[in-house]
Amino acid sequence: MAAGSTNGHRRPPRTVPWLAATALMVVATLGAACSGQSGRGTGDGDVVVMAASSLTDVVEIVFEHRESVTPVIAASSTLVAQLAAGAEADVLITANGATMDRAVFEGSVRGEPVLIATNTLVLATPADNPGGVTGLSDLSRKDLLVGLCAVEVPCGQLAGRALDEAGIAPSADTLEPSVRALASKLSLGELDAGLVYATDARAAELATVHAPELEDHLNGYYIASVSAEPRPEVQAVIDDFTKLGSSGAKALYAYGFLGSDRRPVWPAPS
Amino acid sequence: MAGAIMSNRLPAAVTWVGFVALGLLVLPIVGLLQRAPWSSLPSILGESEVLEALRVSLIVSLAATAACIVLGLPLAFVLARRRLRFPRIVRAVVMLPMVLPPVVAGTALLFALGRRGLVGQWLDSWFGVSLPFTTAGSVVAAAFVALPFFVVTVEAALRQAGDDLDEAAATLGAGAWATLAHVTLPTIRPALAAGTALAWARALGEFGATLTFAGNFPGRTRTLPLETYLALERNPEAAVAISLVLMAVALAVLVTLRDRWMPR
Repeated sequence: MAAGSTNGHRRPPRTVPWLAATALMVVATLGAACSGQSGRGTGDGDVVVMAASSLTDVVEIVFEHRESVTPVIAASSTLVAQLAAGAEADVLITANGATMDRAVFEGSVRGEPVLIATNTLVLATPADNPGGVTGLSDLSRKDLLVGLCAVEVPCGQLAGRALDEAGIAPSADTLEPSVRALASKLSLGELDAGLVYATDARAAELATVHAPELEDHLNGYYIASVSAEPRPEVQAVIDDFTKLGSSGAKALYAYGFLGSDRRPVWPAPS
Repeated sequence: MAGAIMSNRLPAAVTWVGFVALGLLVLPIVGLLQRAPWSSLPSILGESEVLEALRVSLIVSLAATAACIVLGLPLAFVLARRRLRFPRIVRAVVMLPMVLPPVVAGTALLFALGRRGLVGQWLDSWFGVSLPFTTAGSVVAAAFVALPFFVVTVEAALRQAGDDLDEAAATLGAGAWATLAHVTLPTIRPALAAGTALAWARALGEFGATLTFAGNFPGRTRTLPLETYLALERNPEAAVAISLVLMAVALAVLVTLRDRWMPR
């Protein structure tokens, strides 16, 4: 494969190809420079909605009949990083105030964030609870395979606070980059216990173990338009979540999210 | 590789497009270099998390490469020298991990070797061995995606070399093992080096399968690519710095290999 012979090797004329390569680089660099500003929408009647991964099912239901909507699902922190890097989107929905704050601070989001729901963490196990988990303190048991969200994503930050306050040092075996990845490993039975959102435990049909220490720890879901003056079709998508009795509000309720009137742990973005 | 081509018979357009392709490969690297936080590089790379990820990465990628050689060499011989029943299908199966999205590869590994997997449940109940969320699991994931690169390279070389020399050695009274060690392997030495380098590079950069199958825990399964991915959300500068290290390590090894073991 790599054993080529060097017989008859002669260099091709040099200038033209180098010019081509340089021209390509210049064009590409200019292109990158022009599209570098953030805070743009997509246009053309299409609406790109970036949503936290814990909203996967809700987003699917709400936009089932809106074909012009393209959902992008990832961890809130990933979405905010993508926006900062110039990803095109019209609406951002994050799973806590801190990530929305960051998007506002970085100038990726120009619209006013609105709190649409809250969620709480639960102690979840596979349906048959193979590790015999009975309470939050079992997360420090070395003989169990314990999973948490990575501290970089909202569910990991919330879990860290809750465990800190409860004085429990978890013996984690993996720090998953999204709550969905953690929930699916629990439902596959590869992990014995983990802290996921109540709604994800429900969606993945996990068993939950009573853990009163978690009840006071809520995270807030915020929606905001990327542009300061959203197009009508973008505003319609936001209304889907913010208006009383909207399809979004109904879906959030159906999947077990809490109402926005409960005060979230994270301060609302100013 | 390109040295054998008679350039005076090469149409200009081919040269052109070739260099455009080279630009496509080089451009992202240039992009990375111009965003690199050169002044804070030492402090970022000196962070204990980065060093820990580098250690895990080296252990995992080297162990995976060793596994690729030990398992891949016999497989390459079987593919090149044995009369197989469905050679095309077997060869396609060997190459599958190259096209499988790594996350799917990781999930497939969970279904097979996870604690509740097809084989994994027996490993767990008979030997108490559970691969997910361990360094060994990371090695398995990396070896799974890297193996085809080694096998395909070595198999091609074995076919090209043919078995005339082997037969000559046998005629002269050499045993099967002696022929293998003194005739066949030295003949395909460049391909062995190339295959090893490719497999190692693939294992070093492996992300999706490792994350899905082995999870992410510092000092155990968090390799440099995982560290980079998480750092991208926390501190993009650190992510760029770590990527630079990955590239530098890979480039250094590939260039060294090429100079030492591959004829130019």
